Amino acid sequence: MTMKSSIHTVQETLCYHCGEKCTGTVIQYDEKEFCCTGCKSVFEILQNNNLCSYYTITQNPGVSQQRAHVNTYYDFLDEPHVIDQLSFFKEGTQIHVKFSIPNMHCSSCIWLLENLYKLNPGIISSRVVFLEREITIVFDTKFVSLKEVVILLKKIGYEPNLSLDDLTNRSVKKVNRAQLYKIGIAGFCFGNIMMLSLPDYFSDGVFSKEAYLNTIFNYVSLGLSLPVFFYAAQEFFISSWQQLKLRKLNIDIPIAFAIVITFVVSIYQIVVLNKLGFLDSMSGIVFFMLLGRYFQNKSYNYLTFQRNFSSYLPIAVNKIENGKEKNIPITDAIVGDELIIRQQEIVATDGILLSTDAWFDYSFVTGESNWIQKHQHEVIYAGAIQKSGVSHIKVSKKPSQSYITQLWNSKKNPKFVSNTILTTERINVYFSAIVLLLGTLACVYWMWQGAFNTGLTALVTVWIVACPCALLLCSTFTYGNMLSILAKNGMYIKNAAVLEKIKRIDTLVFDKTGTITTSNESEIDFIGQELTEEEYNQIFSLANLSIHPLSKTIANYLNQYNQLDVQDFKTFEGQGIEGSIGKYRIKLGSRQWLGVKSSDNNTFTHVFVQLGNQVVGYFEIKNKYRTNILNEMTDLKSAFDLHLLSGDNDAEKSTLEQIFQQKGSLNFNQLPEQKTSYIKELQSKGKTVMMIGDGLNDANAFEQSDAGVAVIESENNFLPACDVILLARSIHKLKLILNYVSKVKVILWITFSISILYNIIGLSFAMRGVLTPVVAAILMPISTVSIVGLSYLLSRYFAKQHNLTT
Amino acid sequence: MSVMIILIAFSLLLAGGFLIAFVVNTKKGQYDDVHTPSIRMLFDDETPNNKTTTKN
Repeated sequence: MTMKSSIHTVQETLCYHCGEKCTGTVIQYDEKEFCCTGCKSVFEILQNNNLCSYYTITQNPGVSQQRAHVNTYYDFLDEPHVIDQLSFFKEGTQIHVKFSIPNMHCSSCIWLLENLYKLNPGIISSRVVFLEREITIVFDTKFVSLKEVVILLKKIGYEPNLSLDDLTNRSVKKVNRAQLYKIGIAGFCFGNIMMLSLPDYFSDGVFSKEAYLNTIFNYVSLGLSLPVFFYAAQEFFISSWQQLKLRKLNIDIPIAFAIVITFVVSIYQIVVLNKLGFLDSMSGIVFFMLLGRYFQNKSYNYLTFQRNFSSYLPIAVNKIENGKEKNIPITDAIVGDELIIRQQEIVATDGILLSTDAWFDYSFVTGESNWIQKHQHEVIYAGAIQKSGVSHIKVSKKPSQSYITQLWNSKKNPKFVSNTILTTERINVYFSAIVLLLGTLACVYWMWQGAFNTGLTALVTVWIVACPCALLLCSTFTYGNMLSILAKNGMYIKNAAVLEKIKRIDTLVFDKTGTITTSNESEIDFIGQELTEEEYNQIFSLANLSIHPLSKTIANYLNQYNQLDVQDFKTFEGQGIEGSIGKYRIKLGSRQWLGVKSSDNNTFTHVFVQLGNQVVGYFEIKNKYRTNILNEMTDLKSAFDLHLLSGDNDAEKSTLEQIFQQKGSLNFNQLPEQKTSYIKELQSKGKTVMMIGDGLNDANAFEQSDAGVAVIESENNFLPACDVILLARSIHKLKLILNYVSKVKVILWITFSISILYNIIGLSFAMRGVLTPVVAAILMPISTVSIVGLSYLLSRYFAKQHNLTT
Repeated sequence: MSVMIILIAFSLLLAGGFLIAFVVNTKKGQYDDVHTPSIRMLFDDETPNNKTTTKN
């Protein structure tokens, strides 16, 4: 029997509630293990209310409570006008509210949320719509308040996403219902017309003895076809009419023509020739096309659902809570929060200025390049960039990530003008024109041959089977899929045009500070005179106003000191910052800017401090390079030209030469203008340049480069000048990402070719008159959905191949 | 064969009835959420130990 050694293997304990690894202290309760008190509390609540079936429906269904915020401000839910806006129905003391709960992800969640009434007697019932992540709760205000309901939801881990514009959901439902009505009526009529046409299929449709039956059948069919033609087929006619009014062509036009022709010819045959006509084909066309479009829309909605929620930039803001700063994602900020916005940071939500006057740059929103001065208590709209020191604002409107992303995209940038021949409009016009032509040709040919029926069939089927939808949509969808996959991997691209540019990059230019180095773990030391506490307070106050990585390092180092009021704060790009505290003018900056004589001691980055008129010393900062940067550079080197443009001195040249594995193209002491001209020079040699920096000193260089990538440490620093935002923790994936993007061409080629193949095969059958209209009507949406699905699958396949998260 | 007329009339009436039922129920919102009921159906009713519940 061996004794157990004193080194015991650490077993992986998984939390009973959320299934995540228990790092740190494991909390034991009721013979189960939990990763944090949050998860344990949820378990306790469920157990006390006999709701432990929650854990049997799905394994580890809980959402980890480790990162849940402890104190959230819900008192505003007591205000009557807020309750009014959130509830959509009231009856006596009963209120119906609808919440969006993004956290629900499995059947256990649905089960628990629909059993809410067991947790609080005031809750009467609750119902979940899973695909929309929505819950409707009916509760009695005599026993429970809205605030208590929300707090309860939060306690069990399903915090609602409170937004005051829930009313927009309603209109979408009405539109879907209209579609269903049309499909229902078209289906009813189609089925019955087909039944009435049965005699026609079998014995040429003539009742030898009771000819009057024929007439009755024909006219009943005619009657049934009227609702199909005048109601169900409306959307084709309306769309075609609108396009024709604008003298344009689109794919609804051949379809509308086909329907009209079939209808008119059928009426002629019934009324004049007393033959059956083609009403079964006409109603079949309408029914199957409507059905196909309905399923097409469902597929699109499913595919875009994920894209919309994950592609948005995860902006973070700094909230002041109990006097301390706390970094929270923008979606957690609520009305009434106090936020601190530093110079160069973006105002992420509408707010009221709490501090004294400040200057804001609204060029991002309005294009107005002159800064605007705002006074205390004035409203600052989202999208403004703070330009003078630090401001405190109080959030006045629920923030919307999509708004900022839209603003980012709305800046018309000439360097991304698409110069492809195949624009959406052109495809629509050419395609529709060709289809109309081919149909007419086939019809004329058959008529000339004497086969009237075949001619008509050929005409109608050609006009229906051709579908440009896939051609139009496959690039949109492929780009959309790629953008969302890249977003999951930490890279946020402005729009699809940028993706096209990235495909062609062959040169990478790196900034040093903040890009290759990380400000989080630098070693820092102050060398110089003995300073008093007051003087350290002053230095800290100044450093805390800037988001430059070096300032942040200094501020972190001195964070035990107090923040004083700083007036007249100014930033000098690439050189330093200055501000006034009381009578003193304080400066923090580079050696050259403060005019200090150069010494031989050039090994590390130095930030000099000037208080009043005297330079009192400097901070020596030893840069810490990001982990794995060497491996990353090795990978990148094989495919791209690498350059370094640093505003810093060349103290660490040898280290950098090792990292880049080259001696040339490493430039130091670069001023912003020099960086811009360096890039211009590379471009004049025919290179396509990607600039990778932190965006603070390189705004112009970003504009000059073909694609500007801002590497951000935390999601606070959103810089509109850049085209791509790369999270610092994903920088080691850069090569994988660039490789993946180059595959976009492959995907587009495959989907384009298959879509064209569909059309060629379909058209060849149709022109020979071999295809029946009903089959043609089914083929069209099938082709679209399959190609869109293919592009989705290919994007994911290539992502997995490159080891990216999907 | 003239009985066909009556047969067709009746079948149209019957089918029409179904159509009306479809339209009325769509108006009432039956097809607004087609996903959640499929999950909801699989939940167990409470055992006699726990509080009984009738929730549909």
